Order: sequence, then structure tokens, then C-alpha cells
Amino acid sequence: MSASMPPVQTDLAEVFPDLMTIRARAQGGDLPGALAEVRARATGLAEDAITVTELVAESEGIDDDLAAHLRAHADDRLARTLDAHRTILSAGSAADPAASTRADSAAGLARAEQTLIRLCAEDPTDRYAWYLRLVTARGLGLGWSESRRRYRRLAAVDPHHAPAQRQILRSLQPRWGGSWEAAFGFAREVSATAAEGSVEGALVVTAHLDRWLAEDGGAQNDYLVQPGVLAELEEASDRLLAVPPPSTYAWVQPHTEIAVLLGVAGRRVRAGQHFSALGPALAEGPWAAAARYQEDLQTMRSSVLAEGRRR
Amino acid sequence: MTLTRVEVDGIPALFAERTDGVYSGGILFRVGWADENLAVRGLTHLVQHLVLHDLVGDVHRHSEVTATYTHVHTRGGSPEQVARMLNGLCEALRDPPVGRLEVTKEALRAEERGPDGAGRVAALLRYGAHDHGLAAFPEVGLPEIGPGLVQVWVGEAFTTGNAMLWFTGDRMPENLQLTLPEGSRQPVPAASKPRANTPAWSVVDGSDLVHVTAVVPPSPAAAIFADVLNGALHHDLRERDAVSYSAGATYTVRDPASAVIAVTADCLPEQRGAVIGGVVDTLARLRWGAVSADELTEITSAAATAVDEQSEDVDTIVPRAVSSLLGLTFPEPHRLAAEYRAVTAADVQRVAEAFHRSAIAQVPEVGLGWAGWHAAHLGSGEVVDGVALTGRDGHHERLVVGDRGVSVTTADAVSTVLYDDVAVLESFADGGRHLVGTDGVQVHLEPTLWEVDDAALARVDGAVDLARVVRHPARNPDDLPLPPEPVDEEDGESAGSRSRWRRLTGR
Repeated sequence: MSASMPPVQTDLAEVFPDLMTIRARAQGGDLPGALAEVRARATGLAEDAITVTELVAESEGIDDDLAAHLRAHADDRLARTLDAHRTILSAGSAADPAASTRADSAAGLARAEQTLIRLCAEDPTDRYAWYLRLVTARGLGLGWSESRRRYRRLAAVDPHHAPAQRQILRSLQPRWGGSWEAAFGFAREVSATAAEGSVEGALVVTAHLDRWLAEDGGAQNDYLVQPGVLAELEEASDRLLAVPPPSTYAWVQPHTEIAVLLGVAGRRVRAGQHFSALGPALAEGPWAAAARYQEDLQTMRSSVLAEGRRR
Repeated sequence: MTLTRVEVDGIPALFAERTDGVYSGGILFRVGWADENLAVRGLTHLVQHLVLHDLVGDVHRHSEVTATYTHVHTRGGSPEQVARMLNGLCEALRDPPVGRLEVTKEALRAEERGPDGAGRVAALLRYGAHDHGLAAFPEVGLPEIGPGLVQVWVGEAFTTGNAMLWFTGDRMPENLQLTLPEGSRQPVPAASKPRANTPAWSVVDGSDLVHVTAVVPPSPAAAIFADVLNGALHHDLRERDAVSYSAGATYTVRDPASAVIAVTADCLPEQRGAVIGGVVDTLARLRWGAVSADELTEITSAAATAVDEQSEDVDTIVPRAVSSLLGLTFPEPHRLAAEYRAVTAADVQRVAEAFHRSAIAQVPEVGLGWAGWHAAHLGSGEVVDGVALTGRDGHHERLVVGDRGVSVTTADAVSTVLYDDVAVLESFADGGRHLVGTDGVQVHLEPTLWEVDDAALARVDGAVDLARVVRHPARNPDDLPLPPEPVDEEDGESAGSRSRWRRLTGR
């Protein structure tokens, strides 16, 4: 990669200054202040709310403060949910079905699940707790019917919960005992009824990304250049670009996914439109997934970003 | 309703006057299958059939043996018919027709359907092979029951002091001759301390059912909790989530200290995970969620109205008589209705906690470790010292016959029965020996599975109390167990669960 390539920013806190403020508070001894900021964003679009909670949950070095806060405020639902979220994340790497520390992972997930059972019992409209229970249901192997039951409970509160839809998409894939037919069926159903510009409208793109990685490991673009696949990616691209994104932070993910897949498939102009919308921001997962194509993708980025500076 | 307490031939009786021309009456004895031990399991039922034999032509006669009482009664008929039935029954009890013993056993074997499947696992895990745990077992004791034992049982339990009569009609029947042996009221069998570390779970493969029982102190709040739970399960699992066709809860007062609340939720095989999750969430909702004032008022009012309507119902004479027999207080309907109306959401929540602490669940897959419940185990996991017998045809389970007991070890569990702790030893003339410990653990010595020699059989036979032995003739060779076919790696887990089910149930 040459020195002139445009910088890549996969840390959303570097992209959105208010997220940096929240993280700084969480890590700088003002956890209650960070929680207040999270709470202020909790009623917006689910994908933004989850982006913010994930940012705090993934912040390093907050465990002691969180434990102290919970001792003083045992009834703080957000802090309890955050604690469960961190427990899931620390069990997370081992939640892979092939992981050797499966028993430890299951114990961690079960601890988190028990906190979440109570949170959902106390308040069945809690989107954040139900969302995390989709993660635990899959990690604990509770079966597809239980994942679906939980998703329906959540969808009754928020039928457009894009992060939950991504979890369901995963649960439906062959790796977790489902099928690509079922996964795409769900993704197309969600995308078809989604608003233009929305994250959920791009769920079918996530399905293609997952299938490409699962079947090919991201090595070749044969899968992506199939006419049917390309047509679906382009349709999703049209819909995502049709209006300004309704989400504050979460749009980075679908734009990165489409930019990467269309770029790898050789649709350079289309990919460029999404790279242009992204600026320096990129979602880490899909960007890293296309490692073999990064030089080419960077070329597309540098051309559209240079053009942007010219204007 | 006018209720009169009288006495007939020394037996306490309740009489409720009614003027609709209907006559009924019955006799209750404070003895049931929970009073038996496993080696005589079926004895009370056998006595019931034996003494009713001469009354089979009586179309109005009904009878039942429950865990704690035996009830023979008439519905409809005339005062003369009521008297004839009770007189005939007492005559048979004074001199049981033991000549009919073997024929009656045959009839019982033909009738046997086995205990209720849903409650079996919970009964075994909670109590082992004792008292209420005997619900998990068929009537294995029948073959060894002789005339002497029948006389002893009748003499102890079917006595003046251990009986209770009831009658309804415009007058008491005349010419009653109900003399029975003298005897005293038998205490209700005390349920042994739960063996499982509760809340506990056990996976029962292929059952497509979630079944949870708990034992709580009886109270109006506990009865209302069960009603709330029943409605909540129906609403959550059937109406809202559509994962179960039939989901609900029941409440039964068993003795002065215990009421049993039982949850049942069925499902299709593809909904197993959802039905398990749904039951966990509904139970959690009653522990931690808000039961709305409207929801609670609706339930307490319905319960109060139902009991209010009973205040003039002469048929409540039967539960009144049962309560008196078992030492329970039969709550006066108007007072109970007021107590139901006074139950608060906080009361319901307290019972929900008590339910959780005592719960034992049977689930079709996965278990409930993820929800913080404990895996239920029978037995101590100890293996006795002794001679390991060689398995036939690659049979992998390790069988040890020792001086203190026998053990079978599989990849995932140890089953040990100590000779001093045998509830029953079923001894087959073909060499098979089935041992059940009082803790409910079962070990089957099968000559078709291991090279069981005469020395091993002699060691077992010589060590077990003869009073615990039930002998059977040789079984049909086609019915004997065979070493399992080698299983594929992929099927290993379900084969393990199946053998676990066999160990739990003995089948």
C-alpha cells in the first residue's frame, strides 16, 4: 500500500466527535456521565443506540468503575445491561462453536443470560436486553425456535431493529444449523419492507458478504460477479443512496459492505459512490474481510476522495 | 347446606342434607400408595380390588387409590343401595377373600398403564424411591404379596380409627353394619427431604414437553399464584408466542405442609427450544415483572366467586371429608373467598420465589444450566470396590459387583446401589437382577450384557434383605436386553441421553 493512500478510520469514535466524548468519559472516571450520554441516545434508531452501547461496552479499563457503580446503583438497568454486554464480549471469542474454551464461554454467556432474563422480565420493552439475548441464544445453542421467539418479542417493540436482524441472519446460516435459503429468505423479507437509506434495507448485502466469506473465504470474486448477486447488490446500493441516511452513526456499516462487495466485483463507479459517502470512515469487519483486494479498493477510494477535495 | 357430624359404628361421618332425591355416600381410608415401600408397590390397589370383588355388579360404585387415601363411594342410587355397598365392603374387609389373590393380581397387571409419564421424573428426582417418589414406579411389588401381607395391611390401615364416612340425601341410610377392626388414624406420609439441588433440571429425550413441579406451603396466595401462572403460560406460550398448544399450571394441596404446583407445556419437536425459553421467561416475569392490578383482580375475583358458589354445594362434602381425613383444614368458602380477594401482587411474587427455589424441571433438550438451574443427578457417584464383570460383545458399561453393593459406570455417569439401601431387588429366574436403591438409582445385572457368574449372583442375593426381594419367572428370551450396536460418533450424544433416561426410569 503506497504512502499516498487515503487514511482508513475504522474507529467510529475517531469519526464522530460525540462518540469520542462518551468514550473519554467512560474511561476517564465519569462512567455516570457516559451512561447519561448513552441513555440520551437510547430511544433513537436501534442501530445508533446499539452502536453507542457497543462503543462503551468495548471500552477498555472500565470494569472497576462499572462494578463500583453497580454496587452503589444496583437498580441502574443500563449499567446492568452493560455489565451483561461486557460479559458476553469476554465470552465472545470463545463463543465460536469450534473454540477450545467452549465450556468457559458457555459459563460466561449463561451468567450474562441470567442477568438479561431478569432485565427482560422486569421490562419486556427493553430493546437492548432483548438484542443481547439473541446473541446469548445463539452462543448457548438454545435452538433456532428460541432465537425466533426472542426476535419476535423484540420485533413487537421495534420491528425495524437492524442489529437484531443481523443476529437473526447469522442464526439462520448453515454454520449455526440453518441454510442459505433461510438466511436469504429472511434478508430479502426485511430489505423489501425497509425504508430507503436505512441500514435494514441493506441486510441482503450482509447476507451476500457472509456467504462470500463462508464459501470462498474472500479469495475470489466469482460469487460476487454472478448476475443475480450483482443485481441485488446494485438494487441495495440504489436504495441506500436514494436519500440521506436516517441514522447518525450506523450508516458506516452498510456503506462499507456495499462499497467493498461492489468494488471486489469490479463495479468501480458504484463502489466509489459509497467510498465517497464514507469519507475516511470504514467499518472494520467488511474492510478487513476483503484483505486480498485492499490495494485495488484503496485505489478506488483515493480517486473519489481526491475528487471530493477538489470540489 | 346443613352439615351434620355423626358417627357410625365408631367411624366419624359427615352428613349433608339434600332434597333433590339424590343419595350418595362413601368411605375413605387414610392409606394410599405413598404409604407403601417399593417392594410392596401395588399393595393398597390390590386390597381395594380384592375387597370390592363381590360388589362389581353395583353400577353406582366408584373407587380410587391416591397417594394418601383410598376412597370407595356411590353416586346416585338409593339409601338401601348405599348401605348395601358399604356393608358389603366392610364385610369383605373383616374377612378379605384372599383366595382370590392371584386372580386379582392378574386383573391388576392387565389394568396397569404405568404411572403418569409427565410426573415420573420429577417424583424420582425429588424423593427417590420413597413415599411420593413411588409415583415414578409401576406396581412392582405384586408378585410377592401373599395372604399374610394383605391381612397385615388391612389390619393396620382399613380400621375404624383410620376411616371417614360421608353421606348425602334427605336422610341417613338405615341398617348400616360397618364394624371394622380397631385401629388408629395413620399419619400422612411425610415427604422425604428433596434429593435434587433445586431448582433442578433433567433432559428427557423425545418428550416434547416441559414439565416443572414445585412444592410450596399451602396458602391462598399459593393458589392464586398458580392461577396467575396458569393464565400467564396460556397467554404467553399459546396466544402470544404460539409455541405451545397446551400450557398451564395446576395447584394441589397434598398434606398440611405441602401444595404441589405443576406446570405443563407441550410443543412440536421444532418448537422445543422456544417452549423451554418461554416457560423460563414466564416464570421470570412472575418473580420479577409486574403483575398488573387488573390481571390480579380478575383472577382473585374469579377464584373468590368460584368458592363462594361452593358454599351451598353439597358435593363439597367429599373434599371436606378428605380434608378431615388428611388433617387439612377445609376452608369455609366465604372466608376463603375473602382471603383470595386480599391476595396482593407482592404475595404472588413471594410464592413465585418459593416456586423457583423448589422447582424441578423436565425439558426435552438442552437443559436449563443457561438459566442458572442445576443439573439433577441421582446417587452419589461413588463406585463400590469389587469384581468387574466382563461385558459381552463389546458392551462398554462397566459393572462391578462388590461386598457393599453394585455399580455400573458409563462414560457420563455412575450408578451405585448399596445392598443396605435397596428399595427393591427384582430377581428373574433367567439370572437377571434389577436393583433399585432408596435414592432411586437403578442397576440392572443382565447375563445377556455381562458374563454374570453364579458367584456374583450369590453375592447379590445373599446380601439383600429378603423383604426387599421380588421374584419373577424367566423372561421371554426375545425380551432380554442385548448389547447396543456400536454408535456413530455423531449419534453418541443422543445414545448417552437415552441411557440416562433408562437409568432414571428403569426402562
